[in-house]
Amino acid sequence: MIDIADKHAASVADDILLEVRGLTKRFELGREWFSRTPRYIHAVDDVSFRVGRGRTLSLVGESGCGKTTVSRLILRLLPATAGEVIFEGKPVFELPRHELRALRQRMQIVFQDPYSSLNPRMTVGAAVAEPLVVHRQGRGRKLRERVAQLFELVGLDPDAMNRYPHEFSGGQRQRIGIARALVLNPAFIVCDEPTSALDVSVRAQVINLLQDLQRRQKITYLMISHDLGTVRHLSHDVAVMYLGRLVELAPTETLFKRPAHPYTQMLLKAIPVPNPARRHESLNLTEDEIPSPIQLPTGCPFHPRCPLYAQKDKPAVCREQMPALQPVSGNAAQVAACHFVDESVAHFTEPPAS
Amino acid sequence: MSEAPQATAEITSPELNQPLLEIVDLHTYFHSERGVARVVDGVTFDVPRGKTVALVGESGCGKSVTSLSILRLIPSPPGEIVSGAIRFEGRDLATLDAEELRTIRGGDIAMIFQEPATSLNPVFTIGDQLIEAIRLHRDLPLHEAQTEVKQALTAVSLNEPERRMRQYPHELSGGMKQRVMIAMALACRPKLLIADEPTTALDVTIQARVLGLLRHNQAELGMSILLVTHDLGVVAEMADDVVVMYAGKVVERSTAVELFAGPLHPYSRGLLSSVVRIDRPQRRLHAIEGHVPSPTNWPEGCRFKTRCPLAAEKCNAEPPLAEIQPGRFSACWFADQLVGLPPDEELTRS
Ligand SMILES: Nc1ncnc2c1ncn2[C@@H]1O[C@H](COP(=O)(O)OP(=O)(O)OP(=O)(O)O)[C@@H](O)[C@H]1O
Ligand SMILES: Nc1ncnc2c1ncn2[C@@H]1O[C@H](COP(=O)(O)OP(=O)(O)OP(=O)(O)O)[C@@H](O)[C@H]1O
Ligand code: SF4
Ligand SMILES: [Mg+2]
Ligand SMILES: [Mg+2]
Repeated sequence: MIDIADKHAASVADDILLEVRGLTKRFELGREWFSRTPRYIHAVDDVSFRVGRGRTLSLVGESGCGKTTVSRLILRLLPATAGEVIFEGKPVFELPRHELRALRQRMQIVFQDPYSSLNPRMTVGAAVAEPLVVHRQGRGRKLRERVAQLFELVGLDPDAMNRYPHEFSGGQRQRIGIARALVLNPAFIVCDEPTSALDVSVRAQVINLLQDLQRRQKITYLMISHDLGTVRHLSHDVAVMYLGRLVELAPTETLFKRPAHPYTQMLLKAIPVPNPARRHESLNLTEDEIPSPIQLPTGCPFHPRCPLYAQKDKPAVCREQMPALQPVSGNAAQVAACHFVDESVAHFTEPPAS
Repeated sequence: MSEAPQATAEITSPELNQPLLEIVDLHTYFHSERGVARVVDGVTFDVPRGKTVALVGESGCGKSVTSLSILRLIPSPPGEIVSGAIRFEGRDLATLDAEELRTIRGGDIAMIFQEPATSLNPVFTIGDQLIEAIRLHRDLPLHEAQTEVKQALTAVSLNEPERRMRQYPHELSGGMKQRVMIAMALACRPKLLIADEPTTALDVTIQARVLGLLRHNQAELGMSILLVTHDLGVVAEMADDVVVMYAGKVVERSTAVELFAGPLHPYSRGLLSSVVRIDRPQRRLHAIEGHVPSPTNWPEGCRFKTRCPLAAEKCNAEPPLAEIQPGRFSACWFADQLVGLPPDEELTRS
């Protein structure tokens, strides 16, 4: 139904579609009146990864750890402080305007907040058609047909095209955002929480759709999601971020069966199970303040909350040295940034099935 | 929770046994040149004191419109609360005047909106907005309000609350904005919290802390919660009762424990079996076939019949929301046959 727009794509060594190297972003905060030096939010710090064509990499981590910022940097919606992004062999940050424009047809984004990403005075049909119009790829009846087709694909009634964003429910708006990202047949889509407002059944439909498109057209996804069930189902690899840094990167099944970093383990244990008989009796309230990207902890950024650090009687190395990403138990496909990674991975026991 | 008239019960039961919120046969419609969209079409349920009721259902089925109707926040025109009663502590919110309603909003009843971006003002700092919200309902000097705001932000696990107070909404991440909304809602110590998808932008560890905070406030202050959510894990974690909506109507009402043990409506069963199970990977996800019909054009009879594996001739007549077992209601002609069926057993017409 959607034809392959991929035919003239440059073939890249190893078929790596996207490579991110040393990506860093600091936001300047207002100066305190008594201080000369500005303060920064270290939103993203030295992040590197690669995504192969037709594959899905998921980015997970704590709220505020820098996931959305990474995606905005990749698409050049925000200038980076340092680092580079290579897309289809081209350095994204150095591209001149006209080439950037061509690139923007091939990279799309589903924004985290569907409401603020839609123009309230534009009908949703016009919003979905806009990328086609901007890139001069369709007009008149053809345009309408293409937009109607996308509405159906994401499970919306094409008759709703002439309505305005505020007339839709949260989940309907989210699907409008997805339709808009798909309309140009891009090679790469960043999906920032694409299904968070969808009920489980519509979510399953949308996920199946994304997977079908990937199989048919080799679309590459960078998924950002807090829904770890969806992440496990959809991704080939998973990258875990904590306070702006990558702390673990591994093939999906490895990560879920044998998470290595203490933060990843903490995350997996907190997943709520749809079974009231298995309620967490006391939800985690006692932990103290969450460390901030403004005043980063010294050494390993996770040490103030790390159970292994506490259990090992607070080794100085965790407070003093930043751990680098290293292979887990000699397996180069799984890397984690922890001084005691082999010990940590041995500790983990999978929670029982519900 | 009974469908039967309650006139006699009201006299005998002491006030505290009465639910905090009662919604009776609520109808909220939207008018347009395309016709009348009967978006909420006869919704009845209670929120008992100190309890959590979860409202679940398909995207677009009317959950947000139901919650907005409680506080009369439906844009009108085109929206209209056509009929129904919304009793809060015995008073009918549907007939209160604007002034009385204003004191209740954000005071006795607080609301966390589904999209935080729509309710935070982009031109004011987080701190200013929170301080104003608190002082609107509580008579506090500025510095005390500031302290309270700081505590409220810490309680939702926001780091460096003082600096965050000086930031503008666009400088916060999606989940941070959501937590600011939660802090704002809780700061006024409401009796009823209406939370529309309050944790969608939170990772599971922060979510656990926020849910813990809600439970804590519930235990300490006796707060009731109406929780709208798609996350059935969160429902299982929090809810005492569950109300399942489909196409503008309540199709099932039950305690959470009983619902998860075996739903009594084919839609609820489809919903539960569509959960992406983290512990049981599948090749292709299960979804309920087909799409919801349009609210300007609901099918006659049972609105689920176009997608229901059990649909039969009888379903062309509308099934009433009937008490199938004590305290368990289902609007399906075949609900009796579903009693005792485990949740993952596939439905077929016998
Ligand atoms: N425009 C901005 N100005 C200042 N700080 C910003 C800006 N955008 C983001 N930040 C800060 O950068 C950090 C990372 O934010 P980001 O939105 O990338 O987080 P996230 O991982 O997407 O979180 P969430 O899961 O909650 O959406 C946060 O501390 C946030 O406050
Ligand atoms: N202002 C409006 N004008 C016209 N129709 C509206 C308006 N607001 C909502 N609707 C319609 O009412 C129906 C119910 O919307 P509502 O927001 O209550 O859904 P919901 O159950 O909260 O869905 P979601 O889970 O996707 O948030 C939808 O079909 C929507 O298109
Ligand atoms: S380096 Fe130390 S503090 Fe950091 S995760 Fe490993 S054990 Fe924990
Ligand atoms: Mg984000
Ligand atoms: Mg909604």
